[in-house]
Amino acid sequence: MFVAKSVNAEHKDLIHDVSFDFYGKRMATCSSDQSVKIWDLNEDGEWVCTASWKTHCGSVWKVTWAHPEFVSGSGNGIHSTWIKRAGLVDSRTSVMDVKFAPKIQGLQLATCSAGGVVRIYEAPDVMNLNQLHAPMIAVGSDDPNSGSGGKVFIYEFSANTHKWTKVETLLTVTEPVHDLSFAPNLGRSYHLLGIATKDVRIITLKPTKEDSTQNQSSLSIFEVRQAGQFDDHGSTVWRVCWNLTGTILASSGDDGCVRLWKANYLDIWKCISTLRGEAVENVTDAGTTGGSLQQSGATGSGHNTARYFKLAPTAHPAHVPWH
Amino acid sequence: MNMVSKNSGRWSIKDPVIAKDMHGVIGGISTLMVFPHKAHSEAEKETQSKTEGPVKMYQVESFSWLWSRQARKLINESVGTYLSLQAAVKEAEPDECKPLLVKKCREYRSMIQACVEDVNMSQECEDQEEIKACGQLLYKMELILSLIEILFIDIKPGGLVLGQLVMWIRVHFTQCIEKKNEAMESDHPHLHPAYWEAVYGGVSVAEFTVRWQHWQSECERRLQEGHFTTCHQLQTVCKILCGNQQTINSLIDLMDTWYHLMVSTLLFTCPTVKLFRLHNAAQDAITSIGGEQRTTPLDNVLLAAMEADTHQVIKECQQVLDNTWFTAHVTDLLCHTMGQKTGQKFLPELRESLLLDYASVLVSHSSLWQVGILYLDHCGASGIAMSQMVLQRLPLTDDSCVHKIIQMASDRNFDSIIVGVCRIMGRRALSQGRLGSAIWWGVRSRDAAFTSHLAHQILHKYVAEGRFESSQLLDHLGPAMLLSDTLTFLGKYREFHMMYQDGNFQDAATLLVSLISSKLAPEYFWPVLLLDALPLLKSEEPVISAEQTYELMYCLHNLHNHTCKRGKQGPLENEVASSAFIEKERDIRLALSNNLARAIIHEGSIEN
Repeated sequence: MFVAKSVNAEHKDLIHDVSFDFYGKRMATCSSDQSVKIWDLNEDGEWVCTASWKTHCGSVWKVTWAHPEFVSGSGNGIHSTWIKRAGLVDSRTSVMDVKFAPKIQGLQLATCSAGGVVRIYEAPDVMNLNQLHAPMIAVGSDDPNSGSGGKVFIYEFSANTHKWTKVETLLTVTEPVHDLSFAPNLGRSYHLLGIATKDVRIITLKPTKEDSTQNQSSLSIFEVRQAGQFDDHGSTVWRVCWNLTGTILASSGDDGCVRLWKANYLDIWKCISTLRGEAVENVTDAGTTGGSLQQSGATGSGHNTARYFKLAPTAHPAHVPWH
Repeated sequence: MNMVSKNSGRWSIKDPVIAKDMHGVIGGISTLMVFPHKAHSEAEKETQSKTEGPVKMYQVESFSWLWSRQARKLINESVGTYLSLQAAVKEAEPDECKPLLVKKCREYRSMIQACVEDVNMSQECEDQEEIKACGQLLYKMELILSLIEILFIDIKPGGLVLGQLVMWIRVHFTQCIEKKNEAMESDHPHLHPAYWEAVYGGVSVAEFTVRWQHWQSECERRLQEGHFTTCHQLQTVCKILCGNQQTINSLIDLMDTWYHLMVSTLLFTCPTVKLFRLHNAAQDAITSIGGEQRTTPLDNVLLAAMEADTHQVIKECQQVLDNTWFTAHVTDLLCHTMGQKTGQKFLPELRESLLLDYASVLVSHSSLWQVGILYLDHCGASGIAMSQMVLQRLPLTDDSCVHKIIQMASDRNFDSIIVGVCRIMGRRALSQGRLGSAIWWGVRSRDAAFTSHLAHQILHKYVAEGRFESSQLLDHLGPAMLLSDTLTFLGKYREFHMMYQDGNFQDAATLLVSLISSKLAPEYFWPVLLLDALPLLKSEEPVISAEQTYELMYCLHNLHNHTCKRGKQGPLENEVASSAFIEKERDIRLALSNNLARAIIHEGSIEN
């Protein structure tokens, strides 16, 4: 079963991105209204907007949090990065996406721009930790020409040459890629990559054995397998997002639905839930208080933001078996 | 496999704005933040702008019965049984396993029963519907678990199950006993309408005896001889005793369920039924009670159990019960019971996966995460990786919480987690200006660069203010001070202060000179050290030797040169300290040469 509670976003225009901090108790939102807002979870479990700033002349597309270890000085120990629509120092075109590297790789930030360039920034003074695996980054292209081959590229960083080298191209993905994300790896022997393209793809990348030897100059070789391909959205998929344990993938598509995917114990992926918005004419349905905007006005005074309401199942109400 | 998307749970949020298009971002393990995404066309905006108001986001969370107050007790109690089971199974010999598992299964059952009682007690002041649903859920759990205990865990020699099944029905379907009590309480029992119903029902769950067959043929004989023709009720009783299927079926309304019917039928037709024949009887009973159309998900679980299909049992359980507690614990029990059997090889993996699901529900809860970690300890490599992730991401709200996390991490040798937490606490203390506390965390995280940075800050503060921040802590650093050069210097310099205060001038002087000559001291601190040397140089008894005096002179010389050089370039860094030093420089030079003279004479006279 699911419960939901509404949060008044206070943005004057569309929200483009929502990002949770390391602990999940703080959230950043950015919007077409050119502002970035920071939200904290208070003791009653309500999201309260604790900061808001407006420094850009343009929509803010992406917000992302750094690991708390890398941040010092700023009042409460947390810091956010935001990207303008046009013009970071290096980039002349729109920045499409920005992501921090996992903590183990130090403070690294990757951005990609509409010009097709990926930039990786590194803060040099952060302690160099022993790395078990060479850093790896997956890049997807939204080039609409599907004839030009694979659209997802895997690059690996070599500590010896200090260069990023392409080690793999996923030939099965030929449609424009809108989002992609590696799952957090909790004890798996392979990497898991979620891809948003014309459908949802889940790809596993298993390093072959030779890779684990001491020979550091050679590049990794992966055994690439498609663990899932789902066209449930029936249309373009815009975003994919993993949960912290790397067990659930959320995808959002043009059909207006958010779907959750989970693998069973045999690593077979399935859709476990579909969430959709519903336009309601009748607002007297007591079961979903706070669910519609008109109602929240009627119940009044903004207190209902903290209220949970049970989501109405639209089909099979039982839990989906996961095995 | 089921059809992927058709069977999946579909949920809707009633908000027209979000209906157009929405995006979802997962925060944490199971929180989903949903927000509207696509821009509306201008025309749409104009017509809707008045009613729409501000943009809304929705925080969607999976909601489980496990969050309820009634489940809390079950969660907290069952973890103990779970842990002791894991430990005991590891140590037990193969033949000791069965009684152990039966015992543990009964412990789980009695916990569920205790919860049912709690639910029944707390019927005031709470949502009646919720209470009812909770009671039903617990009842179903107990019913299924006790059947699983009979059919899978507590298997009797020879595969005889009926006796246990009769007990199972008797405990769970009390209707007949209630009717009997009702009838016996009235003045003329045999006139009460419930009397015969009670008798039929009572007979159908009577105890089995070894002399059953003799006894049954005796019944049949008497029936044929017409002993009971005067009273047709007695005749019915006798027909039941003879195992007359038609008669038993005609009394279906007295039995709540097909399994009640099945057990009753078996009792009078085939009391020595073996485990592996049970599924035929189950199918027959279902057919006579109305066929598969009328079966509920609960029936499917029980049927799967009768068919000894563990995989199906677990799968069906997931559909009946809205909680991961049950499937996780049942699979754990079954896995330990059938661990060695062939054909059940999926069990260990399934067990791990379901335990991980249960644990991940617990760890996403602010007060149950510790219980979750205990389960993760027994979930293989993924469990360890998950508990590391959880411990890293728990919000460090207060000191007691931090210590709890560190304790749990060190119990499991998660050194990197401890280092990470300490480092974050150090950064936080620094940003709040608590240098001493920051040093303490820095030392614990073994972060040389960070402690060195902090030591510099403390030294700068000393230069500026003439006093130490959190000197107590610095005096008790011990070997930890060796983490970085600056921290070592800071610790040693504090030692010098202690010696000086205690009047131990000789040792203090030796330490001071060694601090200067070892180049441990940062350059901005040299003036302070030389000024510290001044009273020692002037002491009545010479405490600084000739050689040590040369060291000090060398240091002064270097400092003088540097100061001159820098003086030409621009203003000095530490204006206050330096100007104080320039005033005293003459003084120091004089003291140095005086001391040198005294020391040479003193040393010379001792040698002679």
